[in-house]
Amino acid sequence: MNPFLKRATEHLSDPEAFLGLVSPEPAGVYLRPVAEQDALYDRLIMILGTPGSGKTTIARLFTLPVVCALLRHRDAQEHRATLTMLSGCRVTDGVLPTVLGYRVPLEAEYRDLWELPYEDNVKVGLTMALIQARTVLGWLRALANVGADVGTTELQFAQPDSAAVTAIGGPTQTGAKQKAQEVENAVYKTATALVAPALDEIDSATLGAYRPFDVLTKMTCSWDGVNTCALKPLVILDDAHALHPVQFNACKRWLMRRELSVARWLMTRLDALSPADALAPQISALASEQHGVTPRRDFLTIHMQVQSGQPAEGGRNRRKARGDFRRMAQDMGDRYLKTMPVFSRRNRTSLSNLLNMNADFSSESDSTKIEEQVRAFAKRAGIPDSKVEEMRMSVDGYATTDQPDRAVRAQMLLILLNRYIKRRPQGDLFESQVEESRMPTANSGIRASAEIQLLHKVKRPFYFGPKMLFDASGENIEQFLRLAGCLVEVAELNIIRRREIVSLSATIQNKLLRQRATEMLSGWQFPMHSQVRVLVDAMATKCLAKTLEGNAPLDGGANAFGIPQDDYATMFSAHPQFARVVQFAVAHNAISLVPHYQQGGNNREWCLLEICGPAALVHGLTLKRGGFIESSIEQILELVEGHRS
Amino acid sequence: VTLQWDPCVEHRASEAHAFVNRYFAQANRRAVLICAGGFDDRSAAFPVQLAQVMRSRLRVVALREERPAPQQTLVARAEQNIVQIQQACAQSPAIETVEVFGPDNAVVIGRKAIDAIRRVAFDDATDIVVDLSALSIGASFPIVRFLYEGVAKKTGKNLHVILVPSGSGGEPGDRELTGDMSCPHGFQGGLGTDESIDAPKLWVPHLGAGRRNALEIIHRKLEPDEIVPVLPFPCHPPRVGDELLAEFLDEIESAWEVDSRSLLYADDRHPLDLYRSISRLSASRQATFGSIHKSFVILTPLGSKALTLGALMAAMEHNLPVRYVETLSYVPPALSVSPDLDGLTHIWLSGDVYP
Repeated sequence: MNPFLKRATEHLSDPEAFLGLVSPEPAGVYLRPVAEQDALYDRLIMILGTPGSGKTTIARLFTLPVVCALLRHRDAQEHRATLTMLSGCRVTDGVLPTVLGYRVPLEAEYRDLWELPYEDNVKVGLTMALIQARTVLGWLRALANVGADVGTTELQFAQPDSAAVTAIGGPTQTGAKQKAQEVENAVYKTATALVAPALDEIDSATLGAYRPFDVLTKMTCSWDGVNTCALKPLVILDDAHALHPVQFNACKRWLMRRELSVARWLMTRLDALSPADALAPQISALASEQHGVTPRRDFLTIHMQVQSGQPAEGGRNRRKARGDFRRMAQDMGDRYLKTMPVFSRRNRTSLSNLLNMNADFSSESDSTKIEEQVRAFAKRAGIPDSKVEEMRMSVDGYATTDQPDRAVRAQMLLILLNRYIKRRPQGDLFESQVEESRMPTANSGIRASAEIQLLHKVKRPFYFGPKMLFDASGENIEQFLRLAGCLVEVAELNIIRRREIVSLSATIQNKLLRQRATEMLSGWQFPMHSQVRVLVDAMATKCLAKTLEGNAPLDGGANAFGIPQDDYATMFSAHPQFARVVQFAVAHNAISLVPHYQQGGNNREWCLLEICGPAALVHGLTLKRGGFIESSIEQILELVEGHRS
Repeated sequence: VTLQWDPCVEHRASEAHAFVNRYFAQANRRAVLICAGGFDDRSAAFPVQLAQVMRSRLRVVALREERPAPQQTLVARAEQNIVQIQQACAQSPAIETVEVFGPDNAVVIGRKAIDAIRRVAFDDATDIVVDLSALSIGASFPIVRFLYEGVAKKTGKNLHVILVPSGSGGEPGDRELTGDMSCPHGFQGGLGTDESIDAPKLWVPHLGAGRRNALEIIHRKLEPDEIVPVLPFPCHPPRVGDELLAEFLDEIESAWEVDSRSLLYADDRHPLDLYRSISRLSASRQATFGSIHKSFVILTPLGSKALTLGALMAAMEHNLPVRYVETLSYVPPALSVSPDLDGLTHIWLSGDVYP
């Protein structure tokens, strides 16, 4: 089985098998810095990410069975990095666990509580009661499953004699379990009744008094028959986007309360938030402060992609985020390869080594064809031979430090000639010449432009090599695994057939990646995906036209539209439907947002809508960032309308 | 195994037509017919037939399932079907709009459908008829369960279920899914509770053409221990089963790791066939696991309507959890489903014929 194709970490129920595959890098990047500030377990942590960004995998890593499995194998070399990361996150002291983590998926049944015909406060109360009851049951089950002496388990409270302690079943695990089951059954019965019971049939007093998160500080139990373990309870509420927006906000407010004594994380996709919250969190942050909630003090937000309007924790910028992601993806890819006997038997467990970086690119005839185009263009435009030669030397001079092939060099020269024409003063076309200081010269931007243009002109491979694979994943682990999966599959086949490692040629990589990306896009099934598809197609068509312009005005080509930052701030009120489409596009990795992008005269601020990941592969756009078409929301709407019709 | 609907009063094809023409023609019969008022052309087929038999003794309640931003061509087809129903009925039919999704795209159709049915007065009716032909799972499952447990069993009224199969054997295609697993309201079946976490789970998905995405979503979410896919056989057209097998070969052989002996064959026009098979399956699981701990048989009815009805009956009787993926929208050209009235199926769920 190819684990890349199955997103293996999410399907492995056995903690040992899970540990064998999971990479500690994402948690190390996103959570460890927060733990080092002592902020991971004393306030609400909100973790935002696109689907497939690895939220659930991180959550599982912090659950007790996985931590215990790790401690059982703490001397194993392959788990050293994971143990170091979890120790850094203060989940273990290296010998015993210190955190009792349990993940609660907030599935549709929690959202269904919102459909009950009661007042909002009653529905919020039912939601909170169900979450708390299931969490307590989960904590106790986790302790039992890891072999802790359940009989010795005790719940510790800040005020042991309070009525709140009695209401949750007291300090013993038996009492706490019984009470939690009663509460769960009561809420479940109410939620699943075909016709909701009358309000007075619900034992609101019992449910309202059930607040274990308010009073529970630690859980202790005997460990290994020798040690006593004191564990900080941690609840990880996953998939919170499934909640109703009002329910979500109520839960968020509840979990932000400083009185809560348990550690709590809330994981959600961007869908759960309003477009403004999801796409312009700095605006919401201001609003929060006006309502008495202070971000960072009352809650911390961790973005698993740096794209949503503010830098993530620690001020990670996009360049660093891309670097971090490449490292994570490399680590994960190598771990997955190790589990495949075909590769591990031959000790070929480096994903990068499977991807050939060497050129097998342009045919002689392609190169000759482009060189002829250069000659014809120069003649048609009346560019003196001396100038052509000067620009050719510029290309050759660049080529001595970098080694582009013949077709690329010819295409670079063609771009330079086009730029020359653009810069030539108007007037007598055949007499005037470009000043020496304004003569176009070859550089890496020209090369990037030439390479992407050749992809479309002569099908020269463009998407190959590990960096291209990582960047094409749009900083999303699942997308990376799906893209890498098709490459690994063919590499595996090559080994089986030829009994030796044959790394994949650039041509094959380019073909496979674009094929897989096309499959991924045709499999879009998320809400509003039709509108997102039209938006992406319309933008991509325009970006491609810009990329293919003869003078390649944007080095490397365009993959984004820029709208003035001021327009972006008003998008949510002026164009709510468009804002919603953009939100789903961002939430499902079709585009990413780059707000406050400064470029142009007077450092004008833009918000970029950047086509990312597989969508860029499908349309043959550059993965390099920063090339954008200056536009406005109205122009984009017009473009979309034109594209649709 | 003693089953609630074994024996069961059912009629198919010409027998069903004969039954409808004879039984509902009796002057003392007053019926309420619950049916769909959607773009599926099966919406109007049976209501028109029954209206001709019962005239003013029939009241029709047509449910319009409203999905966000529907395509105008489909809306126009739905309007045509409603006009047909209106023209056939002596009493003006009630058109009830049922929202499928909340403002946040959460699936709310189950409760909304029950709310709509609770507004209907059944006092003067001797018979309640539910035409499932063009109703979605999200609406039909809660409605039938509510009418069976909340009305028919309490008042002794007759409850009938009617099916008009699709002429092509398929269901409306070209759909956008929500991307999340849903549960028809009232069919949670205990799944998700603490006692279900470590319980063994057997999943019974119906294989349906073009439903691969939906089944993949459910499979990922459920992570079942065992899978028993349902394949239609005998089926209409006869090659449907083979085609489905080819379509799902990867899943059966690889992703789901299904033992070839675990395929469950069921007649795609005979609801009781699947009902009995699932009932036997559930009973044998109970016999195996019952004394140790709870186990779950989870149904995903995405195949033909007859198979869906069989799953519904089994789920109601054994309180089995049902999971599916709701359709966010149908995209033109949504497959036009022509009604095959020759394949009419009638099942008498509750009432005079049962002691």
